[in-house]
Amino acid sequence: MYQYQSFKAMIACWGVALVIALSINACAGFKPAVKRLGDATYEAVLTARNTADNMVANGSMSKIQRQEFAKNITVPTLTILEQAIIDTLAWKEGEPIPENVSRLIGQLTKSADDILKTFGKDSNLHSNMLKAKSAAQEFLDKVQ
Amino acid sequence: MTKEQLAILALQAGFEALLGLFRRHQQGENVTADLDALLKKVQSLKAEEEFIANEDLGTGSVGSDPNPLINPGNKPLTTEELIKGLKVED
Repeated sequence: MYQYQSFKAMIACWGVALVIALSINACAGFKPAVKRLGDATYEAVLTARNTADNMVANGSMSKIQRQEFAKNITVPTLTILEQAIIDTLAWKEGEPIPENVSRLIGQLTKSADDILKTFGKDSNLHSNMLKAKSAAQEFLDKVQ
Repeated sequence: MTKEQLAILALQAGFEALLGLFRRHQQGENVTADLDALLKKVQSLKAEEEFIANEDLGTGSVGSDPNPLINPGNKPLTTEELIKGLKVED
């Protein structure tokens, strides 16, 4: 009888451990998803920035246009990305998704459109923006 | 299935769950370090872009030149300094 009670207690303990582990595993995908989204966004902005600098160097973009590009695209995107990363670092399991992470997806879509309008179908930019967009989509699929 | 076999299975399941938890914890630490590194890169790029966004293009001032070797102290140059800098040697 004593052995049977111990056995039941052991099963219950391991059962609880299993449930806790599975719950934590289910929540642990948030930070890696933000990381992938952040990487893709950073790469997209960096490539766009380098392309804009090259365009200024070869005379196909004026310095004023470059400044507007920084004001309207790179700085706002990087500001929200910075905030999203800071919020994600402070995020704890069970808390709602930080608002800046949701805002980043909206900003990314806007920046992608603006970049494509500014640069046309530049291959590097296009593929990078597609990567950023697919990271955003993957993120949405994961958190929704 | 005997009680002993069930106990072994339960132990195995519990051990694997804890091992998974440990791996997740380690992965979480790696992700935090990666996010920290990404944050530094983002802040650095943002600072460069903010400089361009706030650059005074209207006056053509070289006072905003970011290169400290060309413009030590990042101060606006005087007219004499500008003329000296533009002077072409014969």
